[in-house]
Amino acid sequence: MLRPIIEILNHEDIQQIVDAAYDLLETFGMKVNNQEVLNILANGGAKVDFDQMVAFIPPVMVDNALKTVPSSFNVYDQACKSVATLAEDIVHFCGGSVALNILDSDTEQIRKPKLHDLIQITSLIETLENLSFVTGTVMPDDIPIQLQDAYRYYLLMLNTSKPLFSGAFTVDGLRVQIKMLKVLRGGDDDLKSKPRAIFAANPTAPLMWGGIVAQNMVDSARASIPVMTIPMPLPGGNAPVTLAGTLTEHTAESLSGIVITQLVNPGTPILYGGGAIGLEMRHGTSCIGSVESHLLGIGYNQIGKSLGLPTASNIGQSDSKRVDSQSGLESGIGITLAALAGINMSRGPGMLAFANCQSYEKLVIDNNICGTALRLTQGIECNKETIGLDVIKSAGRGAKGHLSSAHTLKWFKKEIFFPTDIIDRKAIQTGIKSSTAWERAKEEVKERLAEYEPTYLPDDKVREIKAIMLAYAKSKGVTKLPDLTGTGWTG
Amino acid sequence: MIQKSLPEQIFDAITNLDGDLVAELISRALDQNIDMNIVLTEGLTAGLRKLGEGFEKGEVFIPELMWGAQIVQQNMEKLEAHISKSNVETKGKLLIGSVENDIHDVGKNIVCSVFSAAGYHVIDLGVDVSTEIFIQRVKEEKPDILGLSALLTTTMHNQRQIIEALEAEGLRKNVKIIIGGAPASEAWAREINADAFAEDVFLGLKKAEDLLEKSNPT
Repeated sequence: MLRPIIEILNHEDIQQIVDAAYDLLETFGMKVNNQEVLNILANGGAKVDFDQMVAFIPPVMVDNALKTVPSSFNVYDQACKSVATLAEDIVHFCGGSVALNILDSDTEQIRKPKLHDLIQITSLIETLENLSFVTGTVMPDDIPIQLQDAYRYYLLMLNTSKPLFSGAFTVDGLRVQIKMLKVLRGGDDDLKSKPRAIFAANPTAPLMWGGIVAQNMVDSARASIPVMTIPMPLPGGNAPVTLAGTLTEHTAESLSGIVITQLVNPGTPILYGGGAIGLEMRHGTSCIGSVESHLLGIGYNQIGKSLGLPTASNIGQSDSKRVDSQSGLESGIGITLAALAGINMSRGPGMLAFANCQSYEKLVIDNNICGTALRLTQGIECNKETIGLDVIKSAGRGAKGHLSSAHTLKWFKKEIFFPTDIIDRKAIQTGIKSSTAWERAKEEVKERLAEYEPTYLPDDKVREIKAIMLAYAKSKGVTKLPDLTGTGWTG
Repeated sequence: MIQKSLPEQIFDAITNLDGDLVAELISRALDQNIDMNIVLTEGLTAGLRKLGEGFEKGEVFIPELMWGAQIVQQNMEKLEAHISKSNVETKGKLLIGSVENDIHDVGKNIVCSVFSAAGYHVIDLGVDVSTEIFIQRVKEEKPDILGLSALLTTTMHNQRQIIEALEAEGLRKNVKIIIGGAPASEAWAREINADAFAEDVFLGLKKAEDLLEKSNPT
């Protein structure tokens, strides 16, 4: 069997880009708005202009960092069971996160999300067979802004089972999450050996680390928590319009993040990710569903793999403002390409409108696309049994065929992917108006949420994590945590 | 064949994005003592306006518009000594920047070019601009419109802070404030007492024109 793979860069292309990235790091440098990180880089051998806050990173530092970063790692669920291996061409999917909006199921209009949306969407994702991670999908506007990062993940830690993809907007917001994760895991050793969360680290193009993000990355590395580096250059905006040039910036930014984490804690797992997206030159919008975003995703994935790292991407999202043909084709193409490229973790199911809007209905539709893509990666198994020469001969040419054969019984569930009823494969009925995928998706959302049973932590851990969250809220001037009445919360 | 006048040729060169030709034609116009006011209004700014119209129709793309705006800006200096103030007057003055701790600028840069093409005098303060600098520059420049860009939920509060600081200094009533950026919204604009929220550059332009029309009805 051949695992279907798509590649767009040959070895020479990759080498050229990586060489150019090394050159950028050494001669142009990374601006780092964080004194501690600049000191770390200087002590590690970088030439640092402290006035301009720019670190010039020589090739030897990059080479050394690539020697200590692991080529694979596992992530674990709430029960400390390994549920996702991030390595080779093994593919996983994670819902899109940090959406400022949500598509209302009743009005089909984009609105601001509330706490109950975060809770309901998380519950929904827990039921989706083809999504391996939970994440802070939306930014409810009824959470005090000081708590926006930490509080969302506090809720997720309390009653979800899947591994977390997380991040923070503040230094303290990440540190309090680490505190809570330590309680979850029962200590530093299990936090390191059985990671429940991956933390995001987004540099700012071109070639800059913001002060808060740089600190987040350092704190994650110190706690041995895997870091996903997510450069987001826009071709023609803050990177060359030529995709190879965008990949060069992307590579340099990624490598600098790897250098920093490995200096802090050699062996910190890295997920070589990205969010490079096309810039729409007519409207000035960033179009994540564009073919350029897909090409870039496949490209930086190949570069990451050539460096011996597990990879991640943002491809598979849609720029449509509705769940419609546009969202179907953009996510269909993107998710399929992500799987064919062997990207280890692709974030995006559920997302619309330039990664700015989540949708319940799109999540369940995308779950089917993910399932289809995963089946695609399994290819066609060819051996004596699957070729079934004797099966063909013994079935003969009679009317009975294969439907009731032992061979079919044994193989049909392995060979055939069964999407949910969102994908309408029922017989044609004339004289009636068939339902739409949107309508069927709405039904499936309701069914899944009705059947969902949360996973609860032991009471002592819940008490401890709640106490941490409350103390943190008070330190930020919030005396009471948000009221969860009516949100569907059962923690 | 009747040769086009120099201002007409400059107009064509702008719309064809030929910066070298624009520079050469302006030098020729200076040598021939052509009225620079006409070169400006019928050549440079007319050409840029044509590019702006093309942009609104989807026929001209952002890089082309920005290139055109750059050509005009580069050649303005040659004309400044020769043109009357009345022709330098524009639709209005836009002072714009990304708020403190926000280093994103792609959207802001597009706004600068589009407003420039539409006939505004644009002053770009750049990124990570402190509230103090915004206040100081409002006092100095006396803009008609103040544009505040924030791309992060953690920096958008600075949009409120700037407006409150303007109120405290007694400057708020003198300027129309338009906010922009992914986390902002109409509701946020109302909450912080901004005059408008620009979902995108076209709507921003429309809202700027409406605000200025209301405050200076013709």
